[in-house]
Amino acid sequence: MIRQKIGKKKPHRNRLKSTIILNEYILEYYKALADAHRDGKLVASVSLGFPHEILYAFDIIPMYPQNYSAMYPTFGKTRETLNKVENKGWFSDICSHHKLGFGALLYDLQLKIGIPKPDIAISSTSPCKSMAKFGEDISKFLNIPYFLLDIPFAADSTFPSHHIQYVIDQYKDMIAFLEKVTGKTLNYKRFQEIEKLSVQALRLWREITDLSATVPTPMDAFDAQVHMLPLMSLRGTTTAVEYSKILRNELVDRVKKGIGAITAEKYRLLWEYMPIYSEMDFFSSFLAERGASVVTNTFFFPLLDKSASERHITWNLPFFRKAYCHKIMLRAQVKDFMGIYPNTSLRQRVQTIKNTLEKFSIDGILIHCNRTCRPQSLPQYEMKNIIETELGIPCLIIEGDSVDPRLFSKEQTVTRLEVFLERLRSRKVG
Amino acid sequence: MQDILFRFRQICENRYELPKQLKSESQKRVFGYFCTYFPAELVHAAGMLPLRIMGDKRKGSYTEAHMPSIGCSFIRTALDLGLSGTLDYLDGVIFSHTCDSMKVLSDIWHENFKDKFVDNILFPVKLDGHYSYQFLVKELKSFKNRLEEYLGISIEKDRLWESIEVYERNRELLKEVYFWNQENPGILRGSDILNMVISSMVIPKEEHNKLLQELISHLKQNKLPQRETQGLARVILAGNICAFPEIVDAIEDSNALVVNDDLCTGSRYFVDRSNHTPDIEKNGDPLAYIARKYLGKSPCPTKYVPGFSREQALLDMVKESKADGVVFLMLRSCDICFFDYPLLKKALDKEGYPSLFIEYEQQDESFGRVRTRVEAFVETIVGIVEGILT
Repeated sequence: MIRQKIGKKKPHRNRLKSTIILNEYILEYYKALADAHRDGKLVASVSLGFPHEILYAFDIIPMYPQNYSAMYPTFGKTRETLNKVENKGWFSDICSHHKLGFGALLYDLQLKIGIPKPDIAISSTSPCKSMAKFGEDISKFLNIPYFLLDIPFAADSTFPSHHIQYVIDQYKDMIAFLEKVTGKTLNYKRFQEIEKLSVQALRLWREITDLSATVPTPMDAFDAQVHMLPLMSLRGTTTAVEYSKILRNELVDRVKKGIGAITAEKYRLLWEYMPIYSEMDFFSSFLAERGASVVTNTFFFPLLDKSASERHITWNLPFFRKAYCHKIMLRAQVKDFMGIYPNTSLRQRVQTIKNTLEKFSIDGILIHCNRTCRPQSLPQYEMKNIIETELGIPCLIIEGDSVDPRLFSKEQTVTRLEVFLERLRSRKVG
Repeated sequence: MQDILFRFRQICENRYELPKQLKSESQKRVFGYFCTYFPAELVHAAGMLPLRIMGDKRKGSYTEAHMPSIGCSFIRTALDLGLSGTLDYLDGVIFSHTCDSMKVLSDIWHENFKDKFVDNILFPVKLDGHYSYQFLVKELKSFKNRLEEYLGISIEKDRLWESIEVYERNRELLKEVYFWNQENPGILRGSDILNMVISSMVIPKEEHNKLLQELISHLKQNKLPQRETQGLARVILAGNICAFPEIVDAIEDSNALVVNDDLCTGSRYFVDRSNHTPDIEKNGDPLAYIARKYLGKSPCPTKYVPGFSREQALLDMVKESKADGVVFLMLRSCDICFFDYPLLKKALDKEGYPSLFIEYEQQDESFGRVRTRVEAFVETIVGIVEGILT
């Protein structure tokens, strides 16, 4: 009787043991942020797509309001916070991550784990132009210095030399800005060491991604988007390297034993761009129960794109060749941040997806049409047209928002997901 | 004078038909562009007509399969004009990267018009610093090379300087009309002013300059207001694009008088940020001039200028134009513009200038609600002016 019950148990998710350690590291990071001012450190509000290693070299802690806002659906009152922020004049068309960011930084609408008021704001334009506006706005409201790193659009992976030069020149200007703000001179040797740690963590993540490509996948995208936090916020520290090793080892073990992120993997899916943080539990369990594993997510590409770059050669350069070393180091970093997925053309994104489909043996793509993120969602209908016609992979558009629960309809999504999975099933059978 | 104003309106109403006619009559090639950050002088110097595509009032059924509904009506209807074949006569389309939506429009256009000339000019987001200037000069050079290669011609330096002068003249004349309107309100309507600016991006500049000169000479002869200005509130329109100015008529019909604007189909098209135009040096590099000129333009909300305060610039405009308040006229779904609004509102509130926020779609036909809101707004302003309210 008991056996029968076990035998009939629904397919489900396998929880990663590393999660416990991950939570400790994340809490430590937020504690360090909270204590930063007491410890004599500065805090920078930073946008995604920014090479934050330079900040650690100046003893500045990077704080990502966009990452913080992703925690609201789990730990906070998202609807109420969004309503309050909208009533302050930040209208509904604005990216909901940024609205929550304004809530946290301007109106003290924070979670139990708080974040401090930043001392400076820095943005990059590579993920979207809203990043630049958010940084400028909070710098004006909080009266703090602001620096914008303008990254030109990269149609493909070839960068005209004047584009690279434009970013390098700004990067140098930014070093001067940080030197002025901190009253310190950049210690290039330290910067080089931080770069080394950063590339180490990125390379470990390349291994982790390669392991995720295994059938069944040992870690799916729902896990990855949480387990990636140390790589996002702590890249350039020993913590990020340590944690990446722990996670890598667990995945190696899972692959050896044939343990998957879900128990009965039948379909392998790719999730296009930002997750729906407010419905993570729904999606992960609904899909797991039907044997569908979301094996990877294009949202990770901005970070992973970088691990194959020229940066690893920079920290092997002998330091006595200082000027040369600086030039190479900056150039390598700059090229990395120019070519990130959201900064590339639709054609290039499709090419990146195509490579992923092959590597991860993908059966179908879930395209999250994020209602308040125009750079993400506006090209997606065309993307779907191209992928279905040219690559022959079925796609499903899911309407929603990464943090605003008011813009997601579960009933509608359930129906559409069921039809989509049926389509995948008949393709496999056929 | 009414003839000229009527002509401006006609040009705007037939903005995609007239260039087509011109092409069929004179074989003049026509290139489309979307944004004021576009060096139209280069296209002009190549002997062609640059036409600004500003979307349309159509519903946009062709767009539905290509773009989700969250795109702004400007972007969506612009794509629809392309997909429906209305713009098939164009010899090419060039995008300048400004907002994220524009970048996406460029991507979709590239996919759907693979056999056409579709190009990008990357305008820096950051508008000052030697690096932005150097970057833009190189972008312009490389665009010029691509254009020349496509057309099989060479755009000579002298021709480019000539075009720069024609464009500079146009900006000066537009400024003159704006200044005239501030000093003598009630002669021109707000929609006349916008039609005047919009039409300058549709017909050949030389022709537009002639119309402007005629208009100015008429204005100088007749200072009598066409309408009673007593009891009307002097307002500034601030926002994004206003390509179909019927909404401005609705605002003015509700006891408001538009005395200036910060719109990209209005003053942002021709005003320099620091009121300083670079010198024309015919021995110098015309592309360097164009780069300086466009970097120094009154900035669009997608741009960042270190040290520049949009709030102060708006307050200065309010004071210089002796305005009583500001009407924010925002095309819906323009996320970037909405990031500016709370700061602008705060600055106006602090100095006691009332403001009204209006959101609309390019396709909107009836403006009953707009009228009611503007009337109420004007009553408040008149109340403040007359000291009834505090």
